[in-house]
Amino acid sequence: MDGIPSQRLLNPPRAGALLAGLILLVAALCAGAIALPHSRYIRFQQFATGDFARVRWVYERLNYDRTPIDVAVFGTSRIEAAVSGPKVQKALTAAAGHPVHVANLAVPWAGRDTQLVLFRELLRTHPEVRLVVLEWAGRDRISHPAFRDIADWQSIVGAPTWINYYWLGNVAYLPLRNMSLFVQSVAPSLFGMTPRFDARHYARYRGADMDTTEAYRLDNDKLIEHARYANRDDLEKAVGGPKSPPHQPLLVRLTGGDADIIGTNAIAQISAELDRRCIGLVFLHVPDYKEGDLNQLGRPDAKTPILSAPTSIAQDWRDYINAMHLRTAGIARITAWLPQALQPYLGGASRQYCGTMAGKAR
Amino acid sequence: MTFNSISFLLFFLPVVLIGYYVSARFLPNALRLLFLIAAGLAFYGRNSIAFLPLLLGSAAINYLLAIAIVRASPPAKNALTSLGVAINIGLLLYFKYFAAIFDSMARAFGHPGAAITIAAPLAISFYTFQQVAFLLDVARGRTAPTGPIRYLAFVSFFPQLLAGPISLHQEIDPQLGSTPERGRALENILVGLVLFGFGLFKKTVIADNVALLVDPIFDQAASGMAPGFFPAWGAAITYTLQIYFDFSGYSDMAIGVARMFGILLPLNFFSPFRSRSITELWQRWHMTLGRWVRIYIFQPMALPLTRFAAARRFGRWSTLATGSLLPVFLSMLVIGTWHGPNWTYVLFGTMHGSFMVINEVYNFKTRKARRAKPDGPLMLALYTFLTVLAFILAEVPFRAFDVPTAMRMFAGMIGLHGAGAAALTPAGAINLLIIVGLFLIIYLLPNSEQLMTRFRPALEWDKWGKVDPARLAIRFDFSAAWLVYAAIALFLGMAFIARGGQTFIYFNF
Repeated sequence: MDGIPSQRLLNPPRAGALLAGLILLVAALCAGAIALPHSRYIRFQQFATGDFARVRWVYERLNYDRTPIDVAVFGTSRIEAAVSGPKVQKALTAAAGHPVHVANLAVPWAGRDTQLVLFRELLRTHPEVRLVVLEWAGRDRISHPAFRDIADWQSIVGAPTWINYYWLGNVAYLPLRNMSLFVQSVAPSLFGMTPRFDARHYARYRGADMDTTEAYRLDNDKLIEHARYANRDDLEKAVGGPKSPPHQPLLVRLTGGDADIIGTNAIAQISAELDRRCIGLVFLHVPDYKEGDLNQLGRPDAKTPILSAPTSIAQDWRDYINAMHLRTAGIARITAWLPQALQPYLGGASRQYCGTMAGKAR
Repeated sequence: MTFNSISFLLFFLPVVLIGYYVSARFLPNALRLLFLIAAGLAFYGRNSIAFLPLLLGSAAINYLLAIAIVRASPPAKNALTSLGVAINIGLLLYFKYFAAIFDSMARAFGHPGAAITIAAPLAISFYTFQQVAFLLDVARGRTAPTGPIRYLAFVSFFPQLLAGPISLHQEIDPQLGSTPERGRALENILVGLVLFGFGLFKKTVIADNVALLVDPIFDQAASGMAPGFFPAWGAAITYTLQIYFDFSGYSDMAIGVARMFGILLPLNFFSPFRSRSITELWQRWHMTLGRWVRIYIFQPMALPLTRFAAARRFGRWSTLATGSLLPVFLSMLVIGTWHGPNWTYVLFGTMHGSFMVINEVYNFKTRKARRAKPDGPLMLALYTFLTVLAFILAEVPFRAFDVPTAMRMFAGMIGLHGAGAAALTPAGAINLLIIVGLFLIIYLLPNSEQLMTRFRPALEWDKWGKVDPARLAIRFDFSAAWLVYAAIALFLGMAFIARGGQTFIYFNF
């Protein structure tokens, strides 16, 4: 049986040099691909349909809509469905006697890293923000599915690496993503992308007063609505047994690492940046159906207050469209409660309240 | 974890390679093999931990049976061999076919709800066939057990474990037994990595992208909608190209990874669409499965049947039918059903069996005339065209969810549901260009192994290196230009992994 040539074809030093050369070339190509320029706006258009279509609206609201933002709300679909930006804004404005602009920037799906990306975008585009509201629903340990698509490469590479199971996959995605974005930026019309936000495309943007608690349609005509009742039996089944504690992977247990390294890191960065800028931060908890004591969820940190929606909401099945999302009745109860809960943390119209805020909230 | 995953490429493979060569340098041979076994079991366990005991149990039973066969007297040898084959095939039938057979029988007897579910262990078809071959070859004296560690290293050798090639013990065992030559490690890793890169490019850049054109049409047909003429043909042709580059890519990667460990695997894929008959195609597509069926099914069937026909003085055609056509047809049926317990695979096997029979009859009838006056280039091109056309047709049931879906596709392909497209759209034109481009690649360029010919990429390369040279006779060397091409292939292959590609089609079997 004939096998590998008996004669050595490459001497070891040459083979080693060639192997190193091949690996270095691949690395250089990766770096080159990551460095390809592209339009950030097109980067936020990658989800035309489906759950993450919201990130385009968020980007347009932040970058192209000069309506100020005083209160910015970040969270998952739970918050997207529960908090009506325009209604809370109306109530806060009435109470304060001057305009208080509220933007619900929540995007479906858990994962704090995307919230961190959008938070940075907020500070870059709307430094006037006075209060940031972050959803609190306990710890989770996942990277948001849209993070690798919308974050810049520095955020992806710079994400925590130790026991972050998503880091390698997210970084490995960068060359393809940036090549694709480069091509889309060169020929946007070929891919159905909008190169610039202008009047012609303005119709796609739903405006600063977009109310996520009301029915709206995605670009693919999918209807997002909150009026229908949940099936009570389904709800009961969904909350059936006691919640199992979050999974602690073996590596985390062995090393005593932080199971929620992505969330912890994002909250720490957001908190530090807000501290530096003297902007308020509160957490907002909207309960799932029949969710028990808030204390079971733990606390994100020791200093930041958590605004917890009345627990009575969680007991009424008619408040929910499914186990985690409120329907019209529940939304109305949140809308009635939230402005009052937020008011103490707004302090005043100017930044001068910073000291008061720091003393009160932190 | 599969070959087309970042964790394999950036973590598993480098760690195992370093561990392997370090243990080869500093540890006894047995420990080097134990390290390789551990890597193989980790690789399998990462994909299917629940069935790891089955793999180990199967290897243990077969090894013990092989020892017993070697030591047994001739009559006992036959009995033990039969027992071993029965155990292996029994396990395969139970895990892969029993639930489907039970379900069919329940339906036949009016109890459609009485279905049972049995999860099929990953790669059972591959390691079962490999071990059946081992037992039969031990019984025939073609190989012999060389120790439990070497045997387990052979069965669990991860480059071939999940989807072949179905190598023979006598091919791999001597290579595993010999200590890797010092000073060749880097050369082998380099050659293997280049081959792997070509395979990865075929899989993630070509096959996975082509799949995007295929799936909507077949899904539509599965949901009851009837595709028109152009979409149906488009889907059938592009699926054929998808599986071509998927399997070709996988085979290159398997050969490449094995080469990194200094092990040569048998060829499994050799430009089958340049074949001039369906018989030749099956000698170049999934070559090791074709070889297995030829050695262990066709030949044991054909010889006695031919003798039977001769003893009864059958005529020329009757002898052909008995001694050749029947075993050929049944062999193709086995190949079809090997893929799984679906009627679609039976139809696939039946179609290929029928094509093979037609091919054999044509050869039988025209052999003398063609010997006297060899076919011209046009005729040869026609043979290739018909061969590929036949293959495309048989791929329809292979891909289809069920037989009615396949029938809807066939109905579309003969125009029963209209044209399906009023005019050639820009997207359609691009798809057409992609199809033409891929066929040009197949027909003009050398395959990966031909490209790497000077490095003797696979077993029996002295024979295969001379077969069907490519129209463009280019050869890989380690010049700067080729190093850049290899790096681009590897880079794009890796980059496209991140899109979240599909598993290899042959992992389903």
